[in-house]
Amino acid sequence: MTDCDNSEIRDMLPDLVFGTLSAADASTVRLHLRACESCSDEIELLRVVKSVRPRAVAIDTAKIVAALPKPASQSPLRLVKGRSDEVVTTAFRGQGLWKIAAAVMIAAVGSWAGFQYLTGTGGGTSASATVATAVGTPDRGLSSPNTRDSGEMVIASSNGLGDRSGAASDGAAQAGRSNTGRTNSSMAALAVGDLSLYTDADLARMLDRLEKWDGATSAQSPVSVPILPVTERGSL
Amino acid sequence: MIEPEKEKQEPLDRELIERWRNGDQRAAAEIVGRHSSALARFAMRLGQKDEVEEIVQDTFVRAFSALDGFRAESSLRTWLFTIERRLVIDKRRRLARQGNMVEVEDQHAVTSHDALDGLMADEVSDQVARAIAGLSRMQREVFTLRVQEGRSYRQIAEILDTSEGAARVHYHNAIRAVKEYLDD
Repeated sequence: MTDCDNSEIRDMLPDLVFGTLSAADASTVRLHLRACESCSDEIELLRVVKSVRPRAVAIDTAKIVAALPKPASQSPLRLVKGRSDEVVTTAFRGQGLWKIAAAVMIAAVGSWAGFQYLTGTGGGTSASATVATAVGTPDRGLSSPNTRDSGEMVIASSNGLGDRSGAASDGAAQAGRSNTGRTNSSMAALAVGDLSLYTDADLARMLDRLEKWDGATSAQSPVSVPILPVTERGSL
Repeated sequence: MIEPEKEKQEPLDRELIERWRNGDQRAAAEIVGRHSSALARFAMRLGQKDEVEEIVQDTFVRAFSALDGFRAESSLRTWLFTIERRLVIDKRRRLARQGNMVEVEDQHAVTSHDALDGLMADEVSDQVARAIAGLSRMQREVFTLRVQEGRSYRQIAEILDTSEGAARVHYHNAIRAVKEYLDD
């Protein structure tokens, strides 16, 4: 049998099989099929071919999802390709700032505790300190009652440093003494300043150094951020 | 021509992509679940017998790594097919360079019962598969995309990096060859 010479109708046959024709076009094609044996045979063939499927292969979708990269918005550093094809690094401030603040404070506490230990002004036993209160969610900022702004956190030390004013941080002692009802606990408030004053490049460098820091006790902070003692009321 | 996938799924695919960009991993799972079977079938129809799951996984990983470059005017599935096809071709070329198989460009594909063995579910399917396997690579891909995946000529042109006119010609040559094979 020779093929129908109406190429326009023949082009639409697969669309009729898939149901993707407009109502008007579908009606036109069906009308043609009533009168054209060649196209009727062809559409039957197309239906058979469409129904042919390779043997099913089991796909582990969970494994695929686990292998997917994370979206760029989820990383603290985001690489954005500018119009001039220059790669511009921007810190994702909405989420990065509070994480940087937390990381810096943990590093600062570790350094401070190590300093106490090395200079003998610490609690005598292992110099440990715990960071009091977690940081809040990025959109609400740090919501802990012991925090004042995005740049500072209140740290509770577990080694009773507040009882020994000594040669330790004057600020820490001052903070300890000023804590009403908490003279036996050691509270030290440290501020890293206003992080929004730092450039993206500075923040990126800080993050990079923090990531490389092995967490070993060191008298020197891995980040060059001004760490200033504050009073309980928050003034420096 | 109405593209129901574009009408019904395109907005949903776009929504899922946006949700994934905002950190919703369930959106990624939904995208994978929605398109993985079609990608597996397409890979097999392209002649990929082994490592189909690996091809599908690589396709998704590439796609998600480049979602910023996904143009909204084409459907997500079309774009995924484009990526997968390139991966299959790259793999074939790699194997050809390693001497594992002869890379046949646009000549008639080698038909072999062994090549089809285990791929098809029944005899009719087997016959149709043989008919399609006898087509040239471009004819086979156009025919598969048009008749088995319901892609438009515009989408086929995008996937196969050719023109709509060329896609039409390949399709009509393919359907003629399939009819002749089955009539014999």
